[in-house]
Amino acid sequence: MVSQQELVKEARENGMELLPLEKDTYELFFGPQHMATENYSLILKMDGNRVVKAIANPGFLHRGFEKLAEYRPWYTNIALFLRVCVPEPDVPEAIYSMAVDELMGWEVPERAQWIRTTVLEMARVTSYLFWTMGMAFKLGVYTAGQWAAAYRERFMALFEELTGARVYHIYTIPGGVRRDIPGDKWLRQLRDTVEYLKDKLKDFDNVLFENYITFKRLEGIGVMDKKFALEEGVTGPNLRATGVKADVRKLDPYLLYPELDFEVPVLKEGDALARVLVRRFEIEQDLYILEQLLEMGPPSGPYKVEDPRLKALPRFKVPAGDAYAHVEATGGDFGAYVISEGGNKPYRVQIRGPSISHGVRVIEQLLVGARIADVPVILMSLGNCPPDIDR
Amino acid sequence: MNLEKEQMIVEKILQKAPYAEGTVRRQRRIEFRIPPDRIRDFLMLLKENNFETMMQITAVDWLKDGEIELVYQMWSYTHAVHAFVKTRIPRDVDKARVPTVRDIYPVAETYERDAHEFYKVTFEGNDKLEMPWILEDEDKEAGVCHRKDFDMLGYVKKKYKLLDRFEEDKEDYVI
Amino acid sequence: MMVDWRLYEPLINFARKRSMWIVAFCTGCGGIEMPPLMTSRYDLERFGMMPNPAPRMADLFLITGYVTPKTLKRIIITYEMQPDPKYVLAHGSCPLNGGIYWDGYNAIKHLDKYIPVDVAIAGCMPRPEAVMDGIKKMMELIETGKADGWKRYKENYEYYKKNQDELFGEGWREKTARRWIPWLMNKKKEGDRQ
Repeated sequence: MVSQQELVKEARENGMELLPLEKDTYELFFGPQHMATENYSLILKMDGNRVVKAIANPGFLHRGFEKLAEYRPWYTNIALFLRVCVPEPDVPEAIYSMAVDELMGWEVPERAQWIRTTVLEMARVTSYLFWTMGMAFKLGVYTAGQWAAAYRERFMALFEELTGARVYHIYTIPGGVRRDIPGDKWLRQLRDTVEYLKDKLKDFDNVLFENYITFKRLEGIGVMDKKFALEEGVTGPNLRATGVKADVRKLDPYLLYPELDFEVPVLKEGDALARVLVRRFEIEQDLYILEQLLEMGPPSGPYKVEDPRLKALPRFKVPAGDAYAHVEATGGDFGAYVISEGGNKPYRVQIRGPSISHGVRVIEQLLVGARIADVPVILMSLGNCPPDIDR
Repeated sequence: MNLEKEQMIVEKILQKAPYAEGTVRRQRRIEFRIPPDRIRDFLMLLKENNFETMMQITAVDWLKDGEIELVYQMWSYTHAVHAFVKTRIPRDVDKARVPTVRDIYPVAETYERDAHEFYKVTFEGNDKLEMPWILEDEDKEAGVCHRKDFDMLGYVKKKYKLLDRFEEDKEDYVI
Repeated sequence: MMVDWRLYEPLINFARKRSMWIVAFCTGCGGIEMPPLMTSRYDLERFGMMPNPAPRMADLFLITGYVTPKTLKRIIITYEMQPDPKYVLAHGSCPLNGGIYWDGYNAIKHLDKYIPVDVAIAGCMPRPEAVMDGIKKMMELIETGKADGWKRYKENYEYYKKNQDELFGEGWREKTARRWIPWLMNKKKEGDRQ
């Protein structure tokens, strides 16, 4: 048998010892191989069970989109920018198309606007269900997580019939959409799915959102106030949980939102429980918007702009100028800034995702003093999506 | 469509900042151009006029003019207006220097780290620029950046030794 | 008395192929199709597979999508932590030849040069049914004894190590482990802890 002193001596020779940083603290890699973070890492300095200092470590998913986009023609970039935000893939398509529409100066027909609004709302509902699954798995309430994953599959089947693929639909393009709705049967199936999901929301309440476990684990941790949130660039449901009534669909309206009627839920405590409950109320509002859209019905007309320049897509040129477009995504405010010089490739495209402010400075300040078991829960309540930071 | 609200905001800001030029682009978009040494005064003025958040700092490389343009995207929740603030600085690596704004808007620290890493613009007064951000150390030493004179395809061929897409030696791959 | 374990190989292989545990590491785009695969619509737990946080207790490694050099360092460290026998399944077209990022400076073009891959699945991204087809092929390879990625790694270790060192530089493990220490201390003292 080998004695302990010999093992310690051998470890020290090979540089494999756990050395303390300063008095009684140690370094912990909350790293990419973890069930809670999605290929994102935090470096924590721990004192026993509590966190003393945290540093964010992004960069595992960096592909250099902004440089790659300058080598591809205008319409090819849709297939590339789709892969920036994976749980909600219609949003980067929509902002790029809206910015190029503004540069071209053409008017998108009404049927295309209706279809684009419906697709964006369906993407919001599937992304909130995916978030509910993740939150339930981290709190330990596995029943609600399995339900959310199963109901999301119904929307995936609808997307597959409309666009041809489950996750990466290359559907919204500058000038409209790529193909038409496949008939009245699809509209009836969408209406049935929305009615089915509205009945099931009270089951979620009983199991997850009004559960004693949720309240005890989430109340009073990760608190931020209104001044901190506005200075640090927090947007979306995280900002609405601190008392600011802000929604891009009401302040800077786009597509068909001026004609729709919905509410903006606002809570004022600013802790993790408020952020979770704001998202629960938003699922209800999104289902209500889908019902209104289905009652309006799609207007008749063309689904794409008819322009003779679209006959030869690789040689398609856009006049010089710059444009900015932003959209309300489930994480926050998603924006794109496009500059064109009159050629057939873009000059500069920049994508700004909401996690570049949530996942870097906000999490470093919210984690000070938290226990190790609270770290994945705070991270999930902010709605962090790592590809937004790295692009 | 009436642009009165945007006109009023532009005139109110230009009264206190005579060194700037401002225009109204369309509904809810306004634009300002300022010289680079007056950035801090102008952003402090915008913060007092209810522009609460900064969304992004975009760096654009104009190779023919020999300049880098910095565009600060500002958004206001009370007025619901988006403002572009544009400045131009020279392009050489030791002359591209701008004062930092992270004490006015704390979120600008992250955006300045991003612009420094990919466009080599130095923000004086920000001590977090030396901290590693996204690129790895071996890429930074080889000079990887997003400027227009960086030869990306040559670097890919040197690093991975393969640029064409097809390989012939496959016998265990299925489907 | 000594037992000749080679007589029991068919039984051991049958048990191994029906209880593979997956390392919980979501390495890229294709991680969005992992939850639909493991929950109730395309149920994968009926084959005995479930995700597990510790690499010491897992046999299967799913590389879902593209790989950047920063992630590849952690993949190699995790792969070497697993005990034998271990299998690797590569999803998508990016580990095969670069995929849509064929001219990007931060995506690995050919993954087989760095760690051994047993089964590759095409698609961008592959549907859950395609992944189950790949898993079925993997089970056939285990049953006949041909899934030998881990043997190849041990025998040709110099070849893999040469490729890894060319990409990352010498001594990359120590540099990665000690990179953040100056930033966590209160005062920056560079040569203080050696």
